[in-house]
Amino acid sequence: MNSALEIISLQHELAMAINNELNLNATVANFMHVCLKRFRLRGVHTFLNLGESSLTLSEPEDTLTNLEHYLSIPIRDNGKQWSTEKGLKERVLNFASTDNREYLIADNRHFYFFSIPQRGVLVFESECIIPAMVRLALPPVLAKFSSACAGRAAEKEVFHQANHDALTQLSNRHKLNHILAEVLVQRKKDTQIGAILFIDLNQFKSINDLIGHDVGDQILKSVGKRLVRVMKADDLIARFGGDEFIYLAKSVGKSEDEADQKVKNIASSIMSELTQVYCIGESCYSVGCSIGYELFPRANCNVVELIRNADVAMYEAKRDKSRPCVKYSEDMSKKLLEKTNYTRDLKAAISNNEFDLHYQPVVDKHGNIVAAEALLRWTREHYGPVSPAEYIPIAEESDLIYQISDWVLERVFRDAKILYEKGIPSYFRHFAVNISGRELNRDGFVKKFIKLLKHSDIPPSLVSIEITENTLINNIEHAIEAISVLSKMGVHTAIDDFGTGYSSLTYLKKLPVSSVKLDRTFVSDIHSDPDNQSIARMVLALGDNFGLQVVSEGIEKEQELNCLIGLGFDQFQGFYFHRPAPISALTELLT
Amino acid sequence: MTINFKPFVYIDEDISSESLERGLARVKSAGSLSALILCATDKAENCNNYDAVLRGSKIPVFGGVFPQLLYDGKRLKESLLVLGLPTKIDYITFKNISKSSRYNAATTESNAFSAIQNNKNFFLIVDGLSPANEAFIDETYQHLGSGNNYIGGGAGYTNFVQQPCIITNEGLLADTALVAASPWDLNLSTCHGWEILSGPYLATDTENGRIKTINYQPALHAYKQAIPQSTDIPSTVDDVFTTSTSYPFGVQGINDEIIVRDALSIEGDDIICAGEILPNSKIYILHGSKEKIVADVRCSLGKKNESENLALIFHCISRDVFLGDGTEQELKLIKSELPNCLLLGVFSIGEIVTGESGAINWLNKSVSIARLAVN
Repeated sequence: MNSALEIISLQHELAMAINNELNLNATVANFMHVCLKRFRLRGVHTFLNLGESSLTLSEPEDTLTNLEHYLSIPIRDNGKQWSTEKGLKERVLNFASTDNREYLIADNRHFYFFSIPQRGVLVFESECIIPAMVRLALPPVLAKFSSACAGRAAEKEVFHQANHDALTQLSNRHKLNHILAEVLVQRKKDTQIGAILFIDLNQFKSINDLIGHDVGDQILKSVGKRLVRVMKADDLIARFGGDEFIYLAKSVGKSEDEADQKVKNIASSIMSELTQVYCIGESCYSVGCSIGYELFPRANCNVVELIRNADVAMYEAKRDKSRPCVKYSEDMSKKLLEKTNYTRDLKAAISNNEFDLHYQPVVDKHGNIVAAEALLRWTREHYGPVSPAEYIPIAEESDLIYQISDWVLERVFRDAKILYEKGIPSYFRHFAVNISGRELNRDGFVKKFIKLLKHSDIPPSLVSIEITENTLINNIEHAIEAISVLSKMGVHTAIDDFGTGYSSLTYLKKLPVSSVKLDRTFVSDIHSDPDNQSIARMVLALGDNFGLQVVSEGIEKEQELNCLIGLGFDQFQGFYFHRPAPISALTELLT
Repeated sequence: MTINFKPFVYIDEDISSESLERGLARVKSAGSLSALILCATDKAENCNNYDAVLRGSKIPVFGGVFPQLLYDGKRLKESLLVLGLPTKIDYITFKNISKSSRYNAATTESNAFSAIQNNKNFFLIVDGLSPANEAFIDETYQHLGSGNNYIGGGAGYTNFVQQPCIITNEGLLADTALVAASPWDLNLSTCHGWEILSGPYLATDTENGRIKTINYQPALHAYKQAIPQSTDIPSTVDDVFTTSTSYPFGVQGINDEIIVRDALSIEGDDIICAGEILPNSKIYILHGSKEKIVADVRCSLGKKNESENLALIFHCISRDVFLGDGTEQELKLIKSELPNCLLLGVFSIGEIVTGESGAINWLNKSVSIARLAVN
């Protein structure tokens, strides 16, 4: 066997070593290890032309000006880490600039430098001379090694992108799922408990919508950095989506009590970090957070269920502002399931024609029907009639309230038109429809209302909108603007449930409303309740002062009516007169 | 000698757990702060009850079960040797080494070695029959680094069945390696004395210790052709080991250093060696004369230091098989060359020592010696 065959064989093995691994670190380490063994080296070092981070290689350049130590095998020499050895780096840079291929230093150690074309420098450290012919075997292999490094770096970047959120550089949902699955398997084997904390930012959406996404993105980046600051070694933080983050605490103790305590400590650190102000440019913003958590392993609980449980607990924390960090319990899921089913049925109710409108008349002291309030009725399949007090709040949590509101308005206008065309008595003033505060504040509500009204071709004065006092004060300026527009058209406006909110004379004066409706709680047994009588008197006086019609609602007894007449009320609504009934019944009463 | 080792040494042909307990009590009462335990037996069941004693030890204990022991220049079969040490020895145990991932740790600083990484002298005792022992010593070198002194050997049983053989405070363990930090400088020497008979050949297809082809021919066929015609041609597992005893492989590196590799067995036409042979390695068939091999030991010992009082010897069991009576001659030679040293050691299944290149080598058929000045 001649030397040429030996060199070719050596090249072949080195070339094979390059193909063994799929990432840059492993590719380089494997190649270096084979060099170490085959050349019987004392050490081998690589310096690579790194980009901005150690993640990527710079674009190939003619001069290797950004060389950084990448890896040494062995890691140490005489107890010191090679990565901190400046002398070696100086020699490498000298080689890169002068192409001086060989150095001999103390202790009979020989250093040989080889260029990794356009990528870096490979250094052999040997206690003996490496024959020149053997050294000549390297350049062809190093050209391939260079390509492999570039390819692996690209793969590593792609791998990084596939596993990290581009904005915050935190792990993404994909990586979280993968790591959580591994940890879950481990926790099922050992006696340790892990925890998953679902973190949702409060007030972030408003900032994002009102101030802009640029600021929102800056805040999310800061949140990511702050979360990393509180992260313990071995734990993981991921951006789950939008303004949702997940903290995976891989091990928080052996008992549930210990785990709860540790999770609370983590949550406390997170909240402490996240609630500090975010200064972006010249402005500062405050963003809080709600945290729900779940411990694992739990019987038959997989990754998706764990995250969902923590998410459910987070919503509980968001709902109950006194508990910013809430642990998941099965009751939460049951409630959520019920709510989900309810919402599903509510949504289906519109298309299934399960809604209906009943009208409850308002009468004057002569018994004439002067108005009729449209009341929504839902007969839920398999459950029967459902109270609006039950489903309206749920509808208001989603966009369903808009669909329902649209349906109600269309139906009221249609019914009003039918009656109007049939001919209604002169004392009948209007059909009243309840408008939720959320709907009133919705962009485009006024425009939509006017469009429907015009489409129905009825006089605006035949319509009255009733708004509860509480919902009015949530965005009073917007409400004033909307009501003003409608009032100018001739639409009546009433404040419903008057007396139960936080009425301010200032805004009552500003609101262009035409009537108020005394809440039923003050009407109930008013004949025997001096306090309710006092309140009723005050509301009546207020109406007189502001020129508002005052209607009392919820009258069920003759004594109540007599008392109210005695106090000076002249419009009434309640079961004592009429129960809510379908449009056909109202038609009969009016025609 | 600057220290009287007698109170610190316990030797008994009784290798029971009771004897081990006595030995530990003896060296502990002499003031030992740790103990090296070397046991010789060919049956793992003789050590069945060691675990409780080892786990109950209040001082660090480390060592192994080997085919035979050496003490004061003499061979000891079926014996127990406990050497008390006047210093607490830090050591790290690595379990299930054949299941650990190779090279992965190379890219980062490993915490696994952090407890001893500031030392410069190390003893390594590995399960000699673990398929991963070379990978393990590679990893040890990668982390503890160059410029250090390493010596050690492979423990195990001569039936070549992998069984618990590494002695630790956690008990007797299999597929395990331990790295102990020596507080004393190790003056190392190693030699094998074997010479090239024929070659070079190219190990064209290998996988760890398995040679599949030599010069693109089936390995066994090529080996049969390469050894002298008068030798019995190996055809069974025992035969190849016997033949290899006289005609082992030699693997030549770039620096012409030759590392001996014993052939342990055959599987089909593959030859299984006691140590890794890299693909495309330049290999030779070696031979040796007993006189030359023994004489080489003298040369390898090099410069002697008067303060050295202990010599720890790892003598390959297959070298002993080849030398036969020559082993006693070799031990006498070592004793005469190191008159101030207490000689103790083992017949090992593979030796570990810092090589000429500075890296750690896994050797066969060698004798490796560390001389220490214990005080």
